[in-house]
Amino acid sequence: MFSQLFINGLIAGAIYALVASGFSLIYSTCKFIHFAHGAVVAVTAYILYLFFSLLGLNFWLAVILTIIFAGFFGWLINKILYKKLRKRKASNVILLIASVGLLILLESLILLFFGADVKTIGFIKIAKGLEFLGAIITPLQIVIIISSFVLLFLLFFFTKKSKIGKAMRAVADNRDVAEIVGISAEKMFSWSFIIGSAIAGIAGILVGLEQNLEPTMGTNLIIKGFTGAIIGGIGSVPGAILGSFLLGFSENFGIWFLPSGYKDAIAFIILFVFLLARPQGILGRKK
Amino acid sequence: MTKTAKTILWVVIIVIVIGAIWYGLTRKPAEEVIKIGVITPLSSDMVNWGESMKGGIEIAVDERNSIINGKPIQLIFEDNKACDSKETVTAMRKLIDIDKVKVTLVGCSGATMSAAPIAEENQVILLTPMASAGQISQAGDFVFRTSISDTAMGKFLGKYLIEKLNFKKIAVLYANNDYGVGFFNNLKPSFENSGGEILQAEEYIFGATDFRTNLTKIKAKSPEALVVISYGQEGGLIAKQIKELDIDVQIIGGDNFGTQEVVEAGGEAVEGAIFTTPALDETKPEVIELKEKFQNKYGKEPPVLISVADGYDAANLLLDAIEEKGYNPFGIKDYLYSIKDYPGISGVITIDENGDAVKPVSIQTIKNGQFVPYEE
Repeated sequence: MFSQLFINGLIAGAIYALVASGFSLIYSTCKFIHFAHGAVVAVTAYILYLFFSLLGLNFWLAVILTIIFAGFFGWLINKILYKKLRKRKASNVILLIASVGLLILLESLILLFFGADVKTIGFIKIAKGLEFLGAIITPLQIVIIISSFVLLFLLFFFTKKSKIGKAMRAVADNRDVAEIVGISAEKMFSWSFIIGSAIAGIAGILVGLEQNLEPTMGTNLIIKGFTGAIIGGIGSVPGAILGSFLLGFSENFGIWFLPSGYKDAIAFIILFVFLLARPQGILGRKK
Repeated sequence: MTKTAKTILWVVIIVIVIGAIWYGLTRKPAEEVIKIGVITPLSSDMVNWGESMKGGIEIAVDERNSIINGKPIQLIFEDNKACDSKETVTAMRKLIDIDKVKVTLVGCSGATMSAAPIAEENQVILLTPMASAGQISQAGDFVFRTSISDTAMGKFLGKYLIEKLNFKKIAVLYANNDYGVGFFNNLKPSFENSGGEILQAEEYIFGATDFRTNLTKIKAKSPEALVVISYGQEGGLIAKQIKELDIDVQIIGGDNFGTQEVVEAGGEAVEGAIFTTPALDETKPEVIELKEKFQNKYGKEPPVLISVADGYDAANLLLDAIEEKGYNPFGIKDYLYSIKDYPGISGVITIDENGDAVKPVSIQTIKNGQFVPYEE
């Protein structure tokens, strides 16, 4: 039983981590809370549905196109909304409100174009999972877990080693100084949106396959992803992933003992404990 | 202010006043139009239910050429988003205070519960064709329902499980909202009094997508059957996760299991699931005819056929009542309480002393993605 609960926690945590990592990457560079990230995940899941189920493209081609679309979509959001607001010297609170507005707008657009009923991307047949140390897990869930770990390492090396990653960290650290040495902050904001949203694309694809599609899926995902990111240390991508796993484990082990209706309560109690006792999160730096 | 500006201002004020008086005098008295207020989800993810109910009502009104007792019928639609209580209260107030509506049709359990006190206070008829919460039975004298309540559904299923399906040890997974809890609270005594045992009752947060730990807990108790009291998308996902976790159990669904969403989300995993449903026989000529009317009017398949039928029946009952007793809530109320064996499309309707419909329940199963009557 323990192993099954462990796997359940791992699956839940991996899904949260997929959402939290892109969100956290954008936050770490741009320093504002991009709630519409959840809707970007939902939009990309629907785009995969459009390419694969409606247009009948090859699945892998559809996946690649979806990820490219997600990156482009993120870039577009930054360009036509956030950049304009920053130009007008909008504060982070205004950007936050704009992002909530965008979240609702995108969900409504999905509702308008695709309708309210559940959509499924019928690529994977429903079948019994694989037995693994007494626990059952499906191949897709293994892919989800591996993807989140691979992302953890890739993002870690990307921010530490690559040129863009370093520049993004420089902007995150001190925008003015970074601009003095010739790094364009706006360019780095764009990059963080492209990469963060492409990760949202991966999340959208995997979550869409695992949980099916509904217009409001983005809100639920970003609430848990955001909680995971706060627990792990907002602004630290590896932290966000760790926090998400911690969240997944505590929820699933928690409701083994408590009634399942307390699942969200457990998540938010952990959030409050962290906010009170360690507001910078597991891996965050104290300012 | 210059003299010209002052003159212009006075002219504008005089024109407005004259206009207002003229409008007030020439406006037709409110009594000449039979107004029916309809509050139902017309946006959000509950839109399929709301649109279906709206379609049923409009078809019923169309069939009478929008005229009753020589007076035109006016339907006033208000959107309560995702069955939102706050939106419903605002809409109900608007319908009563501004539109002076005396009869209303309201969709959703929570919405009906929040609109019921307002209907009572203003002595306005509230008929819900689409709400199942048990508490609505006690919501008031002016509150009626033509759909089946959870109370009736839960009691029926509790007995049926043991007497007909012969399941003695079951587990239950239910949504922790009015619908799920209400249904469970009626299922439990009815099942236990018949000699059954509920090994594990698990609630989940409405809108959840991950049921693995709930199901792991249920699996540990190895029940014979699992009763799933959920909504469409969740029901399908639960079935999918049951199959993935290799739990050997008969899936029994509540009335929301008979929706296309379950089949869409659950695919093969929902094959063979048994569920209770308001007895809507899709092969009946009247049902087929209603379906065709919906298709002709809106150019698409009815999203939730039972809601179309419920909306149609409720509207017809109301219109019959108005025809008989006039646009008078007290007369309509008496008429509705006297309904007995009304041959509705959604089933034979009798209204009991609580204003609730007594309707037959049927049991269906899913076979090749289709809903077919279950044969014992």
